[in-house]
Amino acid sequence: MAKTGDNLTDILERKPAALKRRSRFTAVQWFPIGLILTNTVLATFAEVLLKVGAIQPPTISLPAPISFISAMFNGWVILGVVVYIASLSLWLAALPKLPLHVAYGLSSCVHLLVPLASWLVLHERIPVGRMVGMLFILGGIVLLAFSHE
Amino acid sequence: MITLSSLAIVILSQLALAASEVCLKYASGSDHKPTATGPVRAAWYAIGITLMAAWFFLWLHLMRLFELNRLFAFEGASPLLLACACSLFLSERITARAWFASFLIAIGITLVAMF
Repeated sequence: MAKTGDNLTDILERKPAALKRRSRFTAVQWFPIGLILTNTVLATFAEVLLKVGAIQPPTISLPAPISFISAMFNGWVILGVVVYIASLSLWLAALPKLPLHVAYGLSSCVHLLVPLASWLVLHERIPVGRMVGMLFILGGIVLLAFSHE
Repeated sequence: MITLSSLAIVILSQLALAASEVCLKYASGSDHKPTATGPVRAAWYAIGITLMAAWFFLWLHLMRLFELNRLFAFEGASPLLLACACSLFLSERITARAWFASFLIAIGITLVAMF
């Protein structure tokens, strides 16, 4: 009987500590993950804006060695750069809070969002095989999110 | 059509991206263990942002050559490339589950590239 009582005391003492650990995990670990997922949404917007700008003829044509810079002189590209900078700011805010391999792996979410955005906005085709690949990526991202303790 | 020169630009862009991320992480340190301080930290940020700018211009050039979703398929190796770089240069401990997750992502991106 005394043994059962001891066990009960042990359990009651341990439970708040376990709950505390769990709530600390939620607050500390999920906030940077949220930052990175927001970063990927912004990066997707930026990629679509850059693509729309890149396929349009440039307003200013520069000579051959630096001709690639002429793509910068386009409203869509400039807007894309602004959104990229916002995305980069979130990335820099999240970086000290997570190991780089976890943060970068989670940012692979952009590989799911960009094909979806390409399909929705640019009307690019997504074959079934590519969708299977996207599911693999999703599995990897979920696994990676729960791999960090 | 993928040519040898376009493939070289893709590889160069991925190396620039991985190097820039390592520099930025080195500059920002972590909440528990800040690494560099003062001008050294600013220098790491500057190198990281310069490398990222190099990646950006290469990427912008590649966008003219490939469809956007096809271009992203080439990024398949980058989670593995970066995990190796983190282990080598930042001494991050990468768990077996994290390696497996990175492989899943790489396989997924390769599948995306094949179709």
